[in-house]
Amino acid sequence: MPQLKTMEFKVDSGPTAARTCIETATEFLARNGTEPNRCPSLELVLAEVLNNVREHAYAEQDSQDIALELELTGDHLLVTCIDFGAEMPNGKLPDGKAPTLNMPRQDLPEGGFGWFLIRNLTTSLKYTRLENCNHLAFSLPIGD
Amino acid sequence: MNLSTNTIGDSQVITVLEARIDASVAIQFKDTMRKLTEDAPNRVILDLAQVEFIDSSGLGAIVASMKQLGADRKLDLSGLSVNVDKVFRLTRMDTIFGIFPDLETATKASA
Repeated sequence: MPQLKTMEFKVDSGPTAARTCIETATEFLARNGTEPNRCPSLELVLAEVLNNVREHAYAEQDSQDIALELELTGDHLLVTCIDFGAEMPNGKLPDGKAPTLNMPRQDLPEGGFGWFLIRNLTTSLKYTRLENCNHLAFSLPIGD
Repeated sequence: MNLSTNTIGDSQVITVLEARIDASVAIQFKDTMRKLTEDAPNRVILDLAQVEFIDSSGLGAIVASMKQLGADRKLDLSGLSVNVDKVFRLTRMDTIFGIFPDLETATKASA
């Protein structure tokens, strides 16, 4: 049986939610013998996920809880992000299509890239709504 | 949001003196860029050599900064780290900006 290493922690939904989560997850990996450069998308994915929770689930309110569960296997980091905020619109994940860019410069989009990046950089992405909580789970590969 | 500005040749060079352009500073970045580039010449080079990380909010703020220059002025980028370049490439925003490996190459290239 592969050895599992797990951690649970909470971050506040304030403006530094993403940075705090990234620091904690990076330290968790390092403590368990995994250099950050072996999980190069960790920072970007956690930033996008936490930003979405803060902006959309919690409508930019501070002082709300965001719970994280990490599970490190030999070649993946499994992450579950739980919040107690608003449900995902239509009860499901946004498509996260690649941004369309063939338009005049002044009309280029300034947002809407987050879900595309999350989908592109994770595997096993799954959203569940359970008892007024949002559960977002995904897997990040650990490379050589 | 710590940005410095200089003129090199015909270009205004703005250097980001922060390691991260992310959601927590994106609005300040956009606002500071607007003030610094109000009277910019035709070409502005944004030097990102000290920036280790951007997220989609940071990318959006850089796009917004380009749009703030108006259709007649250009925003080029220099010094993208591997992680920053990855965000531009994945979203194909690397096709929208002139991107140079470092400031010296950027200033030597014609506008």
